Amino acid sequence: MGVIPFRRTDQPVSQPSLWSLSKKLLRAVYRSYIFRVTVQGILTLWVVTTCTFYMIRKMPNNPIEVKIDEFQTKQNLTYEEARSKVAGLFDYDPDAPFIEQYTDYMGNLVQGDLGRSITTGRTPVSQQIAKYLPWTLFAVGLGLLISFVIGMIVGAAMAYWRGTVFDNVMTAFASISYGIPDFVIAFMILLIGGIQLELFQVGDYIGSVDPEIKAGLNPEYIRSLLQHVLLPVTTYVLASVGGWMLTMKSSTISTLGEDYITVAHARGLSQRRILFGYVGRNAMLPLMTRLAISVGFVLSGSIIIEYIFIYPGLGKYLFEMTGKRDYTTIQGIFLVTSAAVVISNILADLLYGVLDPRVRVGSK
Amino acid sequence: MKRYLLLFVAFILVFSVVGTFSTAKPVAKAQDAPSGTFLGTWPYTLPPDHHLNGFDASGLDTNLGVVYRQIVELTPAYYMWATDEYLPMLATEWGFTEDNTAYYIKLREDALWSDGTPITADDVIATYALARITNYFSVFSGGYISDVVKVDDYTVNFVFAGEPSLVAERGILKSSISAAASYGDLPQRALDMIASGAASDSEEWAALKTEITEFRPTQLLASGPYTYTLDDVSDSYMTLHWQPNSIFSSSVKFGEIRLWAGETEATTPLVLSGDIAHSTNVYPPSTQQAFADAGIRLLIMPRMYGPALLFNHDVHPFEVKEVRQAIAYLIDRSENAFLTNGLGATATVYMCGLLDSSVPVLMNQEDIDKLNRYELNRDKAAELLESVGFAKNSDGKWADADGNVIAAEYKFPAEFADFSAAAQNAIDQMNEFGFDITPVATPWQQTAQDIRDGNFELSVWSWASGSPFSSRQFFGPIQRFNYVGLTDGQKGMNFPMEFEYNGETINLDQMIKDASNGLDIAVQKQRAGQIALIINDLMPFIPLNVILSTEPWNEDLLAGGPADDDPILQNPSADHFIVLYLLNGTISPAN
Amino acid sequence: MGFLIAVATIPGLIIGILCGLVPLGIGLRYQQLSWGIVGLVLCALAGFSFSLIGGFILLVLTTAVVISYAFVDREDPFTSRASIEAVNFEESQLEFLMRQMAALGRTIRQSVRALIRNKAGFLGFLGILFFVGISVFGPLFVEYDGDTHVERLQPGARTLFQKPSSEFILGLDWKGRDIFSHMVHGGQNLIITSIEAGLIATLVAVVVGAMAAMIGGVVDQILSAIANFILTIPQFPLLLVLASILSFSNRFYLALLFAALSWPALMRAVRAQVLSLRERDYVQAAVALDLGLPHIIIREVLPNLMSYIVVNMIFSIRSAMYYIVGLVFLGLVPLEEPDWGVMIYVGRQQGAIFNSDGASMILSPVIAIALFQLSLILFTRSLEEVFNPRLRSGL
Repeated sequence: MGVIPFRRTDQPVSQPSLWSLSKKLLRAVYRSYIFRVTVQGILTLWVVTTCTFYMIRKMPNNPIEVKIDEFQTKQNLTYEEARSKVAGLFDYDPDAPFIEQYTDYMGNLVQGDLGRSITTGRTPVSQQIAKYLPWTLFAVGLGLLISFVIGMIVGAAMAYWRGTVFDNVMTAFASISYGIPDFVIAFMILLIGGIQLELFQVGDYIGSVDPEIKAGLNPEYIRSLLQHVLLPVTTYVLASVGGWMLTMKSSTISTLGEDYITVAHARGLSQRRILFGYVGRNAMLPLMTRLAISVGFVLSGSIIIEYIFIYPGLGKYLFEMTGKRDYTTIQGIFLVTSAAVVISNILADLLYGVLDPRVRVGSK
Repeated sequence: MKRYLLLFVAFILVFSVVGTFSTAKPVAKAQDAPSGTFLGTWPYTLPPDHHLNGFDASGLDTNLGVVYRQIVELTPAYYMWATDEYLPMLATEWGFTEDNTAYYIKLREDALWSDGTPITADDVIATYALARITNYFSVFSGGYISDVVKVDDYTVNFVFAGEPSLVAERGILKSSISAAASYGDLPQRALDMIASGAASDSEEWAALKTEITEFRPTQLLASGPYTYTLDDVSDSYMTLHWQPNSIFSSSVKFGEIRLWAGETEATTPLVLSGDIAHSTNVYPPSTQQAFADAGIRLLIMPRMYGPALLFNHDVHPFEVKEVRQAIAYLIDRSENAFLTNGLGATATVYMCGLLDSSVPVLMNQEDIDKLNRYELNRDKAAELLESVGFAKNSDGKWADADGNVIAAEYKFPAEFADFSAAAQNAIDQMNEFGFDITPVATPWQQTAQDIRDGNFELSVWSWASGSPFSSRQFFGPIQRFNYVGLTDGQKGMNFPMEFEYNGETINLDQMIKDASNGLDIAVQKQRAGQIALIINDLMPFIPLNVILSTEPWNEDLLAGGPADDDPILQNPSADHFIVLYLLNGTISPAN
Repeated sequence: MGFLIAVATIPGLIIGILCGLVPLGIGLRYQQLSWGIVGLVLCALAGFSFSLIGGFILLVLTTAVVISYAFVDREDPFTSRASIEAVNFEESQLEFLMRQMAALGRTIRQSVRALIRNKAGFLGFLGILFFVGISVFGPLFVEYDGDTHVERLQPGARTLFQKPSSEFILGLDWKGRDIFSHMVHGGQNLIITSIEAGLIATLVAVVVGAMAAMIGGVVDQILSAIANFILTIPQFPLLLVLASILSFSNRFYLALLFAALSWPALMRAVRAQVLSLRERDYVQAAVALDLGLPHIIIREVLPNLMSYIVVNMIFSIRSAMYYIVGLVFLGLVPLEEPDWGVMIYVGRQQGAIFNSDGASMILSPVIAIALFQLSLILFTRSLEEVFNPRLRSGL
């Protein structure tokens, strides 16, 4: 980026000069919410990247020793055999000064280069992310969407029919499903549904899609996609819908106590109108920030669910790569995740202003 | 907007339910391929990480593993542990040359690659040229072989750098031979580089090494009856397809090998549901029980390592020999073995750094008789502690004269079910005896790092390894996790390896390294006995038990599995029985 | 140890009884013997379970209730309907204290009434009492089974796991230990640490969120930036690195660590809520009257957020329960047994989930945690009524 030198003396004073115009523009840009938020976001990303860069390389152990151990335990090689296979093959120099590694990395990053993986024969990190990200977006994104929508509807209904049997049953369901860890739910589905009741053949539901079916926009492929995403999504929904239901319920309860709801009742508005137009909309507000945060974390996937269902998502991959101490890959995935969190936070702030005109974002 | 969202969700839900009733998929088969699919599992990686280079650790060795690689790229011979003999695979003859300066192998003349071209000495020369540049085979990294020479179209000589070695023999006969044609001009350039006399630390050498490891073969030329392309690798399983040109193509009984992705936890439901017929993963005893309850047979074979209790010899009082011996006496190793891996682990008997099954083979009887077996004897342990000034205090804890109790942190890897169980039980037993040991579970990578850094008091890691040679089996914690095997000033256990013993100055490190040198078995036995007695007396680490592999074998899907007393089950997984039994057609699909 | 200690001890019982003498004495003095005895019993129980803290809190609460009964007929100068001249505003310090106590007592009585009136909420309250009771008093009756029992191995079995039986009602774990005894002994630490963690995290989130929204400007920007930073930084490597340099033997630090890393998500939600509330008339009025930030936040803003905050606090407690166990297995704390969370982790590692003999080792603590949370959530029904009087009339 070049800087245009302005020479004030060359400009006639009487006319609105280019200088003052651009100054105005600059001020407007600086004052603009988007600009400020973008700068803040980039700054946050930079600080986070720097911190993670440092932390990742401070994680105990290193890629070479980890691979030697893997070969020894999984393949029954002797230490010497394993060492000769691994030593010197990784593109990683543990003795390089930290600052040098950092400046190298940042230099490449500015040019949009995420570097190459250390442990997997120098695959570009961007390729790895491109391979795993869509699956996570599909599975976890779908799960998040479904559980959010169900949570909103059921939560609002629970608040509206507070104290009824429906409310009590749903509260019990929500808090119990929320209290059970996701891996227990996942294994229970497989063990009870797949093995004891034999409702389905486990192997047909593992992985992302049936490898025998050609990829494309044909109904068979789409059905296979949905069939394979069914179990991860079900697990995800069961594990998280309870949280959304209960938050929505308590948020709705706060809203129901508001004066404008009472007024709306007094005005004789229809129940439906009150529920959707007044209560639902206002009760959803605090959940939007939560949703934004969740959306940000969708990218890092749901590690344990992807792991159990052998779903080729970014979370499972990150888990494997952290185990292998593949610094560049871990760094790349974290960068993408952090960027997603930052962006969705900004979006949440903007969205909040749109949904709730009472809050004028950036007015102060 | 909301309505559309709802509709969308409903649509998806309905669709998923429809998907539930999917039917079996059509399976394409080659013309005369045998029918049936072998359902195994291996934790391979996915493309773009997945590649077919046999000389990069992230290539075939990671993606097929030592077991399945051998049915794609055959080795010269197959080792039978029970009889200590090699069975022919690619080679028909092998042995030391008459003057013992080299080892030779002679290939079968009718063997073909999957593209129909013959397998010749040039492929062996190419394989070893590539391995030499990358330092990928232990015959090179261990310095056993100085040159590989083509004798005729089917015979190759491996010239020893020093004295002839049985360790090198195993290395040669057990390494897969790759097709020269898969690697373009790299083999020739590697040979030229070697012929030019370039130093292995020169820049050209390093550049060629990088080029070889970054090379991505477009196809995998197989000498075995199965091969695959990257298109056969999906995220749930990869499929090895039968090919007609191998010497074993007519004997195998499976048309394809399906290897499911995933490790222990993810594959357990698949084993239970019959999607996996045989698994090489390590399952905890409770899961083994579940398999047995489901009518799945469990095959037991050696894994040839086990958990050892490691001492930091810089931490008082573990530098005192009597304290370590006392701990060896006080731990009930049968109980420890049972908790480590149920029936899939056995208590260590000889306590000398060699596996119990190898002791009678690798040592002389008179030395074996001298070994202290440290049979459970808590009185003896108490006596030993008292002999070095410890006594039980009023709390029932062992303390020295100044009242310091024997207290330590015991670090163990949280993820390894077997090692962490062994450690937790050892802690329980030591505390019961009157020590004050605190369990600290850490991620396994950190445990290993802490051991290397000497940042631990007590810990657990493996001892012994899957080799028939004493020098490799002795290569345990005292070399790997001790200052002699570490770099950068790491001290590890910091057990002194050079010391006075029975009036002689000895270097234990060198003794172990030299233990299997030469061809004279009697001399090797005598060396092994000497080392075993020293380790047995000093107890630098305590070999708690030996773990066995317990592999599920679904007889509803597979026929011809080995009987429990089949001697081939003495082979560990580096020489896995399915390699031989798949190739010679012993295993077939069950009907 | 943190700020809560829950072990049934004899000295605690004595402290509790001593504390209980105060409401009893005051009850005797003002002819409110029955309430005095209730006070004594409650103080004794609280002291027994929570030692000095429990005894003292109950001492204050029950005394207040007793005084409120005793004081009810006394003329309160501030609420008197007598003419302003006739009322004596002079009061001694003792009288002032009594009046304040009586007011507190009345609030407590109202709250208790609200608590009992909502059946679901009361059920939740009983559930919490149940878990606290088990953790506090259970160890007096059930001996902890911490030794490996190889002798309990069933013939032909490959593991020491056992299904629930009449001898061991929840079965045996992988070391052949009685799971029931682990359930009784293993909840205490986890529940207390998680509650501490959840409380601190919620407190920080609410205070920071409310402050950021009410003050706005640079303060808001800085606080939000910190929250965003913590939200964005990947926690797993952070914890791994922390674990390799730190080791806590005190679980309270774990609670602090959890709080430090988990407040931002709730903080952002609270901030957003308060931003919206800030524009309401009554808050604007309070601002115009210059009632001071603490007053505005505590009196005007928080009551409207109470149910939301309480539900999220319970979520925090749940997250903390699993989080803290995760930290144990990163090596940040020595692995301590008995502990529900450790049971889940070790059970999973030992393959308990795939084996019906062993499933109890995982399912028992999972169900206990789920039920404990159900109790907490049900209890919020009552809390909502206590804190949000508008809801008492129902809608």
